[in-house]
Amino acid sequence: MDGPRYSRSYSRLELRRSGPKIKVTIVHPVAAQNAAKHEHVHLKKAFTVTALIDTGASRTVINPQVATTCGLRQTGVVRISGAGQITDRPEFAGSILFPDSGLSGFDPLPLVACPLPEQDVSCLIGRDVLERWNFTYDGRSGQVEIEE
Amino acid sequence: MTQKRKPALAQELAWYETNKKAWLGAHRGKFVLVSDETVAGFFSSYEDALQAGLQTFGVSAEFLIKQVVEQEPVFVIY
Repeated sequence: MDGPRYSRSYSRLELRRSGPKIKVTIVHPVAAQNAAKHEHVHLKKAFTVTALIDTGASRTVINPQVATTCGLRQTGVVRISGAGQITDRPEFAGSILFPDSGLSGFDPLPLVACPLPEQDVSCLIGRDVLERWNFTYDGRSGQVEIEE
Repeated sequence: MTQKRKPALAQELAWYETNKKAWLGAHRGKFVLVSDETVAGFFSSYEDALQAGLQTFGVSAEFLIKQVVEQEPVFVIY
């Protein structure tokens, strides 16, 4: 494979403690941006947050505040199992970009809004994104690599 | 008296539940696009449904995009 590649080094302890993280920008899908321009409607701006790459999450999740800050459009409700309970959570039409990484974004990407327990993490990159990458986690060296 | 705010897409979700059984026959696995009690079509992908929703209803209108499935999937996140 010779697609764009992103790698980051951690100390073993840091990687074990906090997990692999990446900066993401959450924004309206291009289709919504174009429609808004056409209709002279103002959309809220993009928002950049820290995301945890989480192989245990089947969907990509954002904190509800992120959806509010970006003014994302709710397009549905999905059933989520998290923290030992099953709840219905709103699903928003968004796009996800990976600034300063060289990786391509995903547009559109349905994003589930759910409160996240870690204070410094506002997004979980789930397996709906991971299925499009080759993701390598080397716990011994502390090296994390993403290849498109 | 304060009025309780209706949850987003409540009407569309109710309409989906009412019609799901009928839609499963011909549109199983497709993404249905609904606004109020109007079905704007069935699409092969979320992306196509979103595009059609923005074109049909505009950027300010509420619309539901839902995959037509017999049993609602439960997504595990943590």
